[in-house]
Amino acid sequence: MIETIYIEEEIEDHPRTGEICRRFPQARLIPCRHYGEIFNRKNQNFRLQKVQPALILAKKFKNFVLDAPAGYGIGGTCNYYFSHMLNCIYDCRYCFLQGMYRSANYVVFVNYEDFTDAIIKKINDNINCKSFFFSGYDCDSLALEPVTRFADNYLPIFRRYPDACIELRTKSTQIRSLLKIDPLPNCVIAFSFTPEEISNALEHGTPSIDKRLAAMVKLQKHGWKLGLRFDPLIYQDNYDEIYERLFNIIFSKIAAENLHSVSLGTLRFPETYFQNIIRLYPDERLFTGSFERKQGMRTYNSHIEQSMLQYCKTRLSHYVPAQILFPCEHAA
Amino acid sequence: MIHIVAALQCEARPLIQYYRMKGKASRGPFRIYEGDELRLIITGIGKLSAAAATAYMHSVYGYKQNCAWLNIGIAGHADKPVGEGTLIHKITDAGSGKSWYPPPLIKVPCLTDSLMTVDRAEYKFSTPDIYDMEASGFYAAACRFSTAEIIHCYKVISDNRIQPAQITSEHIVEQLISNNIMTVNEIISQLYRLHSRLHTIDSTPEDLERFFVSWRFSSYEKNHLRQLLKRLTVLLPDENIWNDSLARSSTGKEVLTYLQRRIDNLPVRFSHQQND
Repeated sequence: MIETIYIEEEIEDHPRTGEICRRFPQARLIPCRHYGEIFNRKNQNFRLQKVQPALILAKKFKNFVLDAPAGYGIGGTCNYYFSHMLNCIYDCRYCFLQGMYRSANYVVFVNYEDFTDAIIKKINDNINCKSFFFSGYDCDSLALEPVTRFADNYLPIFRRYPDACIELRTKSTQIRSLLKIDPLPNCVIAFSFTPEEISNALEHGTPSIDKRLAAMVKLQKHGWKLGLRFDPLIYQDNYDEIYERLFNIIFSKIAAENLHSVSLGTLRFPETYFQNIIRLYPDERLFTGSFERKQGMRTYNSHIEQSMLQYCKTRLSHYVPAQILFPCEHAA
Repeated sequence: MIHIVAALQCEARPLIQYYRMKGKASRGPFRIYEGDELRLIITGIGKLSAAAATAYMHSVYGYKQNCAWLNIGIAGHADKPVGEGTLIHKITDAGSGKSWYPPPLIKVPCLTDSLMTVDRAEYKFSTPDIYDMEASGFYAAACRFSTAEIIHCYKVISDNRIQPAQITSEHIVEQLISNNIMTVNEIISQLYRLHSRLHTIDSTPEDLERFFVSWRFSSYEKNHLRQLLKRLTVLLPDENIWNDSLARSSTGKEVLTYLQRRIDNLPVRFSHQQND
């Protein structure tokens, strides 16, 4: 799977570097001074690299925990995100990462202890406010779990601080580590979905909807709190039919009372990312149709956006109470 | 198109023969050879010469972006056996300490390794790198003209601590490159494949000039037009864009509006697509 691993010289001897490298005994190991030498260089092609991304092991020095973008939340007062990894092993054509990063290589920051210290500090600094931490913003939280052991390393913090919450957002079925431990009441395992037609066309390399649901059912039985994410909602001319079908399938397997939250938002990109993605994928139908620019963002036109949001909100409210339904404010 | 960069005539000769390249007639500061989809330039020794020749090649062939580039030559190493061919995955310039990392997307039947470009011939081999005198100049220059995935260096070991460079003759160099010609050929084939994939993503629409002749566009509008045409060509490969509705446009702006509307009006319905 991974043929090349770049390793920052500073973390060459970090125990986690060794653990990760041992999982890929055939990979070529290339030392580098700073991950930016590879990841941030100009003149790279994300699309070409996505065919065979390399892994970059690095150390993060600052900005471990950041404020979540406005409107990004599922009931918490203080919303933060952190990224132990940049980029995703999946290749979803609607993902903003392909427009944000120059490289498709995966960066894993191995100094987890610095992240967890920063999370604890943030919790202590905001003792009077319910802190919510999102981990799946710049990557899929669990997709590379056997390699990164992210959940194993980060969840114990939240067991110690039950007033703070964490969301692991994923499309993956890498849940073995979660089934080995007692569920945390302050942890939400949130699965992202699009209807099957859209998933087949746009979510390359992801587990099927059935497999994601099977993983959710196992987690549900084990007692984990679950989340559903319909973000982004993707338009096609019969969106009502295909989303209706998707909701039926999901709620035939997942008990609504086990859900912590359901969130939804329509497709949106910062304008510069949108232009980058179109340059990479001029042949992609997703970016045709009626898009418009709004405050530096590229979104579906207001009519489509509002119709889809309204339709999906109405349909979802048949299954779940309004208190756990969170439309993304930006798109609403 | 693939541009090959070699320092010495004796390094280039086996390639010129194998690919049946012919010398380019026009005079210039560097000798250039041309073949089917291949061009080769002889740079002379040193990173400055390599950088200058790379830039010269780029200008001679019309400043075309995203050609594939391959630097081929001999190099030294402390203990690698003479004759071993290696694709380079890291280039460090000994003078500046700067490093480049050619993305190893091509799979070839040879090892990959790190290389150090030095200003004078190396005999001590104090680091475990391969040593040459051109790669950093070549790579830094080529990166200005192409995306990194299609710029590579392939080096054949010509000397080590036991067999020092002083005893390497032109004839031996020629032989060393000849012995690795099949690997070079495989690298070139894979560069072709990557280059073609890039070309489909990045090609300039064929009709562009016709638009420029028929209507006036500002620089910004020209870029926008290029984007719109590229998308229409791939989204509607069988459709003739030149129809009556387009012909009725009286200004460049109207043309852009018409083309944008064509894209916006395409029905959006997904079916399963092949992932590349």
